[in-house]
Amino acid sequence: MEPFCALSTPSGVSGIAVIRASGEGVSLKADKAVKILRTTGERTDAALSSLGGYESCYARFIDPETNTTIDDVVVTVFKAPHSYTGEDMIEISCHGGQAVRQEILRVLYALGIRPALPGEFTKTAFINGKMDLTEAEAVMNVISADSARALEASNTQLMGKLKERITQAEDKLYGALSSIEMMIEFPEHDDTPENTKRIEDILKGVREEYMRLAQSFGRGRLLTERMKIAILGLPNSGKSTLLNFLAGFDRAIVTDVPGTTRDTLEFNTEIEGIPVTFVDTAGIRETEDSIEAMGVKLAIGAANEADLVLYLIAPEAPLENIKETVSGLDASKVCVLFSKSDAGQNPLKEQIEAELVAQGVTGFASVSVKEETNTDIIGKFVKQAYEKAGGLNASDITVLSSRHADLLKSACGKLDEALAILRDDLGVDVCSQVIRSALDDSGLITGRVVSDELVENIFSRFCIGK
Amino acid sequence: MDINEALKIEHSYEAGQYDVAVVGAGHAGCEAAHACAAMGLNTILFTLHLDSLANLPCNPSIGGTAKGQIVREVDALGGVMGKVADECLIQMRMLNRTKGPAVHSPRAQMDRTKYSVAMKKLLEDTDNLDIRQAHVTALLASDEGDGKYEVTGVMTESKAVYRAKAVVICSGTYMESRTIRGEVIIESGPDGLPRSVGLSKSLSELGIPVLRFKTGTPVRVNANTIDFSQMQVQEGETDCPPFSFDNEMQGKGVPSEQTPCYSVWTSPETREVIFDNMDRSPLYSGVIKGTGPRYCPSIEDKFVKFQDKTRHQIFIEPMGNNTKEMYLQGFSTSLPEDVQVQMVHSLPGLENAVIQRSAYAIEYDLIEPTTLKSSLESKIVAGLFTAGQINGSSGYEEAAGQGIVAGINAGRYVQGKDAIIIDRSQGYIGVLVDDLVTKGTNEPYRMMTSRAEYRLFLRYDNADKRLTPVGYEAGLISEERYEAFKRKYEAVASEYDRLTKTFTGPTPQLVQILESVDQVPPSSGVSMAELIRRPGVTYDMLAPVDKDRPQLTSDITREVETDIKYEGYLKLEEEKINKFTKLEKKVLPSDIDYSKITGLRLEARQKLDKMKPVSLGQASRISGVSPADITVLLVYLESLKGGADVSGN
Repeated sequence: MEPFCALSTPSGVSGIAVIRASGEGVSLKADKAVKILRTTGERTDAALSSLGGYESCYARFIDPETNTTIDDVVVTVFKAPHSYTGEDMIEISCHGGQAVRQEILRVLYALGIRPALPGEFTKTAFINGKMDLTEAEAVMNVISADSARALEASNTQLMGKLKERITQAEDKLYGALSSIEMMIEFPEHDDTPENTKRIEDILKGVREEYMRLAQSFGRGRLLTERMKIAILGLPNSGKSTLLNFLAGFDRAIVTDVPGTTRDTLEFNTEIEGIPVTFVDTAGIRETEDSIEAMGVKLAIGAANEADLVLYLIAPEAPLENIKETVSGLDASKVCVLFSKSDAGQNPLKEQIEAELVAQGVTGFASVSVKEETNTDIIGKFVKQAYEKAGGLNASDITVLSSRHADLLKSACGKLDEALAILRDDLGVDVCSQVIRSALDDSGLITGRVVSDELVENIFSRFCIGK
Repeated sequence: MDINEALKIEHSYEAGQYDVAVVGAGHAGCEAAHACAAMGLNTILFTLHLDSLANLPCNPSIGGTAKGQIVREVDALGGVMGKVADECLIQMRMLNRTKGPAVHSPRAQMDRTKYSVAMKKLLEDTDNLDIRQAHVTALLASDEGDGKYEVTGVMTESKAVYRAKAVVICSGTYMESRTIRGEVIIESGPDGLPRSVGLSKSLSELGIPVLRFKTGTPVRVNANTIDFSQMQVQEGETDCPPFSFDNEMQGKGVPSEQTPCYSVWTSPETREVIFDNMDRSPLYSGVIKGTGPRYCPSIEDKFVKFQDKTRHQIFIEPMGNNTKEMYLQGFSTSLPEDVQVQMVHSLPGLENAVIQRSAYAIEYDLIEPTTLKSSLESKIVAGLFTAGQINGSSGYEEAAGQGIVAGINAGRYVQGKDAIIIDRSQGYIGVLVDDLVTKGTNEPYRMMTSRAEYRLFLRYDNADKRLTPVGYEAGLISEERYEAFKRKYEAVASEYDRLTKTFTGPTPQLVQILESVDQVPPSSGVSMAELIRRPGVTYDMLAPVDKDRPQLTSDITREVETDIKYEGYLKLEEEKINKFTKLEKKVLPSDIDYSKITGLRLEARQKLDKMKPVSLGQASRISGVSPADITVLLVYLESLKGGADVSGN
C-alpha cells in the first residue's frame, strides 16, 4: 500500500503531538526530511531508513525544499509486520503547536506520503490480520471515549474479551449442533445421542448469555455515548441558571422573563468521572407563542430520551402543573430539585413530595445555585442513576455498539425459535438451520462471518489517524 | 507419454478412436460413460473385469443420509443409478422420518449380483457406448508447455492404443492397491479383483500430485450359520417412493415383499478379543500409511477412539435374494483372519457363524482433488476428468454424483461448450464437488447432510426441481420426461395456490382433527395453508374439511405440504442463497497476480495463487484464506471496477 500519514493526537493545543505514517518504504521516503542528531544506538550519522524496528532517534525535521528547520522531533521506527498496521511505520513526536504539525504533514505529503483516509490505519491493521473486527471496533471506541471509565471498557473489548465470551457461547452452540447432526447422520444407530433435553439446555444457556451481553449495551452506551440528563421545569424555575452553573460559563441566556429559553441546549461534562450530557429545555407550560410551543415539545422529547431528569420546582410553582408534567414521564428517572432555596421554600413542598412519591419519584432535594447550597446533591443523583443503569464496573464485559447489541438480540430471537421448533417437533433439521443463523449473527461480531457492507461501514466511522 | 511415443512401443497397435474414453466401470465410470453416450458422443468404457461392473464391494446398499439425496439428484440429472437401484432393491426404508423434511433420506438394500448384471445390460443397450474389458496402464497426453498437457488417449496393458478427445478416469480403490489383513499384505484390488498398475505413475509423470488413502470392509458370513432368534429385526418400509423420478411419476412403488435386516450389539468378549490382538493391527503397528475414513471407522478404531462406549451396534444385511452371504455393517477391520474368526464368534447369534469372505483394509492411490476445476477437469491436463474415489471421496453415491458431472463436462469439452457447474445451493453434488476441489480432503470424503449450507432446499423430494432442468440442458433428459416434469411442478404450484385460497370455519370436523394433534381450533375462518403450518397437522389429515381438493399423487402433495409447512424457513434459506450467489458471481479474473495485492497475508497469497479460485465465493472456502483476506479481495475487485489502483503500483 502506498504510504499514508496523519496526525494521531487530538487537534487541540497540547505539549506534544504524534504524527504517524504507514506503508512500505515509509522511512526511506521520510529520509530527506529527518536529519538524525542521535539514535538510541548512539549513532549520529545514520539515515532514518537504516534504523531497525523499535529504534528511535532524536532528529531535526526539515523542509528539504528550503532546507529550513521545522521542529526538533523524536522518530520511532517500526518494521513490518511488527507495527500497529502490520506495515512499515514511523511515528514522529513533535511539539504540539498547530503550525508545526501542519508544516510536518505538508512536508510528508510532498515526499509522497499521502494523507490517510478516515480509519485507514486501523483498517490496514485489520486487513493485515493484526486485529479482528471486534478489536477494530473497540479501537474506534477508545478513540472516541473521552472519559476514564469508557476507556477502560473499550480496552476490555480491545483485549478481545467480548470475542472470548461470544466464542465460548458459540462453542456450546456447535456442541448442540453436533448432537443434532449425529442424530441425523447416523439414524440407524441406537447409540447416537438422542437427548433433546441437553440441546434445549444449551440453547437456553447461550440465549441467556447473549441476552445478558445485549442488555449490557445500556451500560456500554453510557460509557461511550454519555449519560443524558434533561433539566426540566416550569418557566423561570432556574433551569438555565443551573446549566450555566454546571457549565461554568453563560451558555444560555438568563433573564427573569419566563420563557427566555426557546430551544434545548446541550453541553458535555464529567460528573463523578461519568461522562454526561446536560440538556436544558424550554420551560414546560401551555403557551400560545408558536416558537415556544415547539420548544416545549422538544423539552418533553428530551426528557423522555434522558437517563435522568432533573425536575426543577421553584418556590412559587403550583401543584397542578407539576403532577401533570411528571405523569408524562418515567417517574423512576425523575429527581426533583426544589430550586431557588435562597428565595424561600415552596409552601406546597410536603404536598408536592407526597404526590410525586405516589407517582414513583424517589429523589428530592432543595438547592440554591445562586448560593451554591446543596449543589453536591446533583452529583449524587447522577451517580445513583448511573449505577441504577448498571454503569459501574467497566471491567465487566460491556457491549459498546448498537450493532453488536442488535446482532445479539437477533441471535436470541433465533435461539427462541430453535427452542420452539424442538417443542413443536417441527424437525431437528429446521432447528439446526435456525441455530446456524444464530451463529451467523454472532459471527458478524467476531468477524468469523464477513460482510462487505459491514466492513466499510465500521471503518468509515473512524477519525483520521487511527 | 504421447500417442506417437506409445505407438513406438513394441507390439503396440492402434485399437480405436473415440470422443470420450472412460477408465473404470464402477459407479462413477458407469454414470460418466452413460452420460457421454446419451449426449451422442462416441464413448468407450474400460473395466478390469466385466463381471464386476458396477460392483458393490462393500456395503450392499445404496442411499442413506445425504447419499439417498445424491441418488435422487443423479436421477434428476438423467443418470442411471436410481433406475438400476429401483430394479434391484430387496429392502427400502426412509431414514429420519421424524427429524424434518430436509433430512428424510431413502436407503435401500441391493441384490448385489443383480445390480451388477442390470447395470451391465443397461449400458450394453446404450447407443454410442462400447464396453471393453482391459487394463489401462497409461494416460496419453501431449505436452503443451509450461507444465500443461492435453489428453490424447489411453494405452492398455496389452499395448492397445486408443485415441480419445477426452478421458474420464474413475479408478476407485484399484490404483496400485493392496489389501491388508493383519500381517498379510496382498497386492490386489477389492474383492480379490485385479488391481490397476501403472496408471497412477503416468498421472504423476504429468505433474498430477498422487496421494494414498485407506478404506476397509467387514466379513461376509453364511446366513444358515447365524441364529437370528436373539436379534433385533429391521423390516423394510413399503410406503417409500422409488429412487427414480421416472418411476415415481409413473406411479411405480417399491416391492411389497422385502427382505429384513438384523442388528446386534458387540459383547464384552468382542472388546477383549480386539484389545488382546491390538498389536497385530496394521493400523496401530504402522503398516498402514494411508489415511482412513473417520466416518466409517474400523471396529478396532471405534473401541480405541470411543473408550467410554463399551459396546457398538452391528447390522447384518443380506447380500441378495439368491445368496446366503450376509454383510456385517459396522464391523470392518484390518486385524488378521484368525482374529476375525474370534471377533465374529463373540457376537450374540454368530457364535457358530461361518465366514465366507474375510474383512480387509485396502490402500489405494488417488489424485489431489484441488488440482481440479469445478467441472472435474484437471487444471494440469486439458481434457482429463476424474470422478469418484480417485478424487478422495468414499461411497457409491458420491462416486455416481461425480461421475455424471465428469461425464457431462467431458462431453461438453468435446462439443466445445462451456462446462456445467452445479453449485452448493443446487445440490449435494455441488457441495461434494466444491468441497473436494476447493478444500481438498485428507481422508476419504463422505457426504453428510451437515456439509450442505442450504439443506432445507436440498431435499430428496425436490431434486428434480433443482436439477432436471440442468440435465435437460445437458441433453440427458428426454422431451417426454421434461414435459412430465413441467406438468408435475405446474400441479405443485396450482395446489399451493389453491390451499392458500381455500378457507374453512371452525367446523366440528376441523375441531376434531385439530384436537387429535393438541391444537386449539381457530376462532374464525382459516386457510388450508395456515392449518398445514400448524405443528402436527398434515395435508392428508385435512381431507375431510377440504372436500374440493383435486386427486393428486403423493409426490406432488408431499412437496406442496413441505413448501407450506416450512415456508418461513425456506425463505430464510433463500436469503442466504442470495447472499451466497452474490459472492459466487464476483468473478476473480484468472490473470490476477495475488503477489501484487498488498494486504493479503502470505499464506492466503500462496493458496490463492495455487488454487486460482474462479469467484470470491470459492476463494472464501479455501482453507488458509481468512475473512480479512476476502475483505481485501472485495476492496480489490471494487477498485478494478472503479479503475483505481490499490495494488500498490
